[in-house]
Amino acid sequence: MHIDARQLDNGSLIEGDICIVGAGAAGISMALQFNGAGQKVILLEGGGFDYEEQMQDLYAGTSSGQRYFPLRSIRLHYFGGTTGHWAGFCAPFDDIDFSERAWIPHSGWPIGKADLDPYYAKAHEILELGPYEYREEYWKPRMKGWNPLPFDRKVVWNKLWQFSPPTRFGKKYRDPIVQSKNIHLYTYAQVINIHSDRSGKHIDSVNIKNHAGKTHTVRAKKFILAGCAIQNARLLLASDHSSPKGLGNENDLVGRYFMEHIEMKSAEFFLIKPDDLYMYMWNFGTKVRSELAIAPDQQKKLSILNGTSSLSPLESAKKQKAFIDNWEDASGNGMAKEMRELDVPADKDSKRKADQALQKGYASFQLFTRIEQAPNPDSRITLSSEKDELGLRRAHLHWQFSDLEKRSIRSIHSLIGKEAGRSGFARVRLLEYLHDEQDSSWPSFTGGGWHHMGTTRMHSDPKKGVVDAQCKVHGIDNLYIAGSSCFTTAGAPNPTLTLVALSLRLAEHIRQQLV
Amino acid sequence: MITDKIHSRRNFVRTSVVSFTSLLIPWLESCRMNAKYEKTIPAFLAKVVDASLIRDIGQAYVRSFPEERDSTLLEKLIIKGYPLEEKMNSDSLRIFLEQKTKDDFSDTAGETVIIKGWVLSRTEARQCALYALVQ
Repeated sequence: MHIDARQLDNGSLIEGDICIVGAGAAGISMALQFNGAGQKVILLEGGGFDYEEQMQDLYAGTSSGQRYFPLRSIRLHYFGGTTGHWAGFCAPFDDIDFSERAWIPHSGWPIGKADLDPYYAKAHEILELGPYEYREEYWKPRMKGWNPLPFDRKVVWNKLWQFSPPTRFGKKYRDPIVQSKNIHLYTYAQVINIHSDRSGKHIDSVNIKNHAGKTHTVRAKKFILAGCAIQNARLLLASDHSSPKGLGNENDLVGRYFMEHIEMKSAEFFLIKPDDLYMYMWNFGTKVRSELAIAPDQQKKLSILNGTSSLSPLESAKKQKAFIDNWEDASGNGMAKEMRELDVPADKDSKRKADQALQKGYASFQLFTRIEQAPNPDSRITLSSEKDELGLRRAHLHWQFSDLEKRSIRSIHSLIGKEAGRSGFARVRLLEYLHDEQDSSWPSFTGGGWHHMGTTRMHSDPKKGVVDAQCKVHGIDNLYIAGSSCFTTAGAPNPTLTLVALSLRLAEHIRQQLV
Repeated sequence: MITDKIHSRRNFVRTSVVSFTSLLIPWLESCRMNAKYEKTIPAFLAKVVDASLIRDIGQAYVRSFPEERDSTLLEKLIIKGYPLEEKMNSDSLRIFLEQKTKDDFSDTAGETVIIKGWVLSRTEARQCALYALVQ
């Protein structure tokens, strides 16, 4: 069922069993788990069904520290959320990502990969992926032309990614949600406040508002924030009527530990004989491909973060803009134009030329890093004094690194260089910003992957985390958080598969609670 | 002179490694007339970079390791480990150095150096240094 909240009488009261705030990948994945079940699910989406400048303006904010993308452009504010422009990269976290690592302060989840495995498998269906299989030995016999690099897997191994079409949740899941009898989707229902009872330990209701000037109240037994890491933190901090520091923030953790993946070119890879390295290439319609990952024992030995390096032909890589320079124009015309061009299907001729280009073989490749950011309490979301049009204080991001990130990138590519040399296959040249071990500065093309994590991190101890192992906010009996804001560490791969898996796990937990 | 041949080929396009290979191989092959030159040519690296970069790497190596700024010392270090009972000729030396270069990268040898960003075997870095000194 769908209701446009602008059409309701002002001051309406909406009631249900479960209220999910945010209809992006996390919120929609959760809601679908209750489709046809006995509970009445209220799904609140601040935007409509399509991109609108006025809605996107609500996400504008400021940033400081390391240069970052304009906040207005990094998440999409309509039904389907940022799946409206994601690229579909999917891989599960590694076991080490969940471990407490002595060389990485604040690492260690209260759950392990085994806790997520059943949900990773289900997430594959939602994201339209192949089987939940990421072993090289599974895919190699099934993939024509795959020749792994001759590296010692105990040092550098092949971590595989699968590619969602990419699933645009707004298109794919609109009908199932709108046609559901027990899921009530409200669009133009931006949550601006969360009300707790006097004790601060129980949520009574949330207020929603829209540009038509209508304000309504939503009551439910359980509330789940599924609005992305920046918006979840923003809303908790702004809901300060009964909790001056913000909800769930007794220990000053909400908004802290903002993590991204650092994604940037890092080195060059020169082969003695041209090769297509097909197993490592990505093109239109690629289903599976490999990136170079560092074995856990090596990470421990070198005290480095987890990350991978992908390969692309150097001649084309040199023509690409740095990620940080994409979406520079966060204003209306810039973003709208980028959005229109996103899903224009490539014509057959372009696909054929791209395929042929990948098969011809190259002698030089770019090595491109994606690495976790170390959890850093000073990398954080706070509230600015400026308010958006609906009266909610805007978010301010201070993006800050530790010493670990740059050292880890250098170590990763030195290891790849050693394996390349030991195997007699190639030589690696680090880019200039990595030459001096003592230099902690970052080049202008340093960027992230538009992955926002950690601002309501998970930990069993309320002094170290905002949510517990079941994603329930510490100290509040009916408030939960879904999505990557719960991540304790960022992991090596893109977050979407893991955040959907975590959301499915939370949905099952809530279902069991409501039975 | 080998140097003249190198300088006459300075017009290659830096971004095309295939170009490097096609131009360097004749130069490389011309050097295989004498075992002495095997010591100064990092065989693998010479197939992916041009002569001026080999010289630059060599100069950077001796700046980092000034105690090795001596062509006689470098020659000794480069062929260190060559079986004494075997007669040295250009082919046997090339095979020995190719294996030694690979072995340098292993954890047990621990002879990897990073020079101007290049992750190299110490043996090939020394060869670059020797090339830079004798040129």
